[in-house]
Amino acid sequence: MIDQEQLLNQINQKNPKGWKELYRSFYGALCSYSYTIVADLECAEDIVQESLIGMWKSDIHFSAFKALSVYLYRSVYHNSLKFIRDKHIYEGRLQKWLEEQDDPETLFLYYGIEEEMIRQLREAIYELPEQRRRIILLSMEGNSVQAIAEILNITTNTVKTQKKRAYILFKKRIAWKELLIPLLFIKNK
Amino acid sequence: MKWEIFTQQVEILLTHLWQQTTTSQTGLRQSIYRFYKERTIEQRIARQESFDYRKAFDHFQQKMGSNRIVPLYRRLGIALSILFLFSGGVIYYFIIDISKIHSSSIEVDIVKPGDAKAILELADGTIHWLDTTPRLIDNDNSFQIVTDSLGLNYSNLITREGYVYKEHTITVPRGGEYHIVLHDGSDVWLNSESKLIYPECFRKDRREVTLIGEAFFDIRAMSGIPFIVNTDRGKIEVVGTSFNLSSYRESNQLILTLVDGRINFHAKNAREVTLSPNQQLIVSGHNQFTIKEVDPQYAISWKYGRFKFEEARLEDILEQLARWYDINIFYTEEPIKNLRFSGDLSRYKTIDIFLDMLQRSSNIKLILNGNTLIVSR
Repeated sequence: MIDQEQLLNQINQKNPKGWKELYRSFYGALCSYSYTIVADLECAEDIVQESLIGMWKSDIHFSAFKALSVYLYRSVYHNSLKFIRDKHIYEGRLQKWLEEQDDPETLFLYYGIEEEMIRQLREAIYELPEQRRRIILLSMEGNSVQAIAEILNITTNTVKTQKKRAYILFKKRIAWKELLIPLLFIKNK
Repeated sequence: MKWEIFTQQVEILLTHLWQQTTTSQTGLRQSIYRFYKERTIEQRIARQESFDYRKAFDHFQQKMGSNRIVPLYRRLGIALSILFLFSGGVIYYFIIDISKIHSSSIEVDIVKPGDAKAILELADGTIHWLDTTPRLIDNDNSFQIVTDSLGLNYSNLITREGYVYKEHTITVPRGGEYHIVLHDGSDVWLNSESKLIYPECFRKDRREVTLIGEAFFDIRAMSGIPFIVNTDRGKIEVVGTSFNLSSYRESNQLILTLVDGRINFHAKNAREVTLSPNQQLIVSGHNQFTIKEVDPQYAISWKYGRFKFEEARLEDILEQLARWYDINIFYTEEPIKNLRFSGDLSRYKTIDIFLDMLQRSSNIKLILNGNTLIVSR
């Protein structure tokens, strides 16, 4: 994994290598996010591309990686809304959103949070062996150890060991400064 | 505003999902609920991965390519304009001039290589411009044709009863190339300035197309149903095979190179010849036939994105280049055309690399003036 500090520097300096990494890491997540707002795959990609180009052309400088991710989601959010307003075709849809939700911005903020969570998860697990990857995902979807063992046709002990290993790796990879609740992740319902 | 909590909430969400716990906080609780109850994490990962970041980054680079130097100068400009406040106007104007010269000289005089593009004409005369963007083309309300980054694909078409056979024409302009999968699953790669006329669906007992220009064919074998390619100089009959056919009108000759299989060539004057693998047939002048043993990799290198030639005449080499880079060639004297060169270069580079190589290995001069290449000694 590339050092976040170093990557941030490259992005700030408009280094093509850093920008390629930025695309690799964020492009899919941002497109998926824009898609939840505009409901059109092609437009979502255009919006993300436009947002990234806007960032390249600006003189913005990030002091922390977190600031970068907030900036990206936020600009995609604004550009997506702008797109909906400009195009008018989706006016009905936007209107519907606005009527149903008393606070649409919070809703879209949480869609962004979900998307970023998925992105970080992808980064953390993309090199893992297939079985461990499946165990993590099934577990995060709320399945019990017992259920996972049954789905994958393996013993509960294997599930537990694999989860433990995954946890150690997670701690290394994801910038979890403070885990809010002490480590008690094998909690069966 | 709300976005300040963004990264913190991402961590909390991840932790909750990992520990299979939940919270009373409304926004987060709804997110957690979505993942638990709908069991959609894998789908959401797949959705993010379905977007092609490589392609997007390529587009980004193309768009930003000519601006790449600007940010540096802009920053330098700011730094120096501060300096200017203290030291007077001279330096400032100097810097502005340099940045102008640089950014303009980057865009001028680069002849770019060709890329995948073509014009498709349907039976009713409708015209569609094709490139690598995936799209669906409505055809006469009967079915849709799919194009993707690999080109046009007819192999999935199914004909219904009462279907009327229709011809399509695909034209690849200068500076283009394009790939088609025909209805029978045969592949055709069309080179620049070429045209292929073919039925959208083949009849049960006949497969026949017409080519002007150059193409590489990889024909699927179908027992009892030969594949026929018509040209100005005669027709080629094949069973299952791959071959390169170059039949440009202005070059006044047909070059047929067989990679594998077996093909028959029937000239317009009824003369017939059979080719075996690694043989090349050249038909020139008044149906003069020349057959020679060749290494087919040179004739088909364009299909693999290269210009590969061995002891080839300069005129023949530059003719290929002219079509691909869409330039004109002007020779100051005739004999230069017959100089011979060998080489192997990528087709996707800008032309200057090619010209540089040719100049280094001989005493000829190649000067690109706009879109015209002047060849002299």
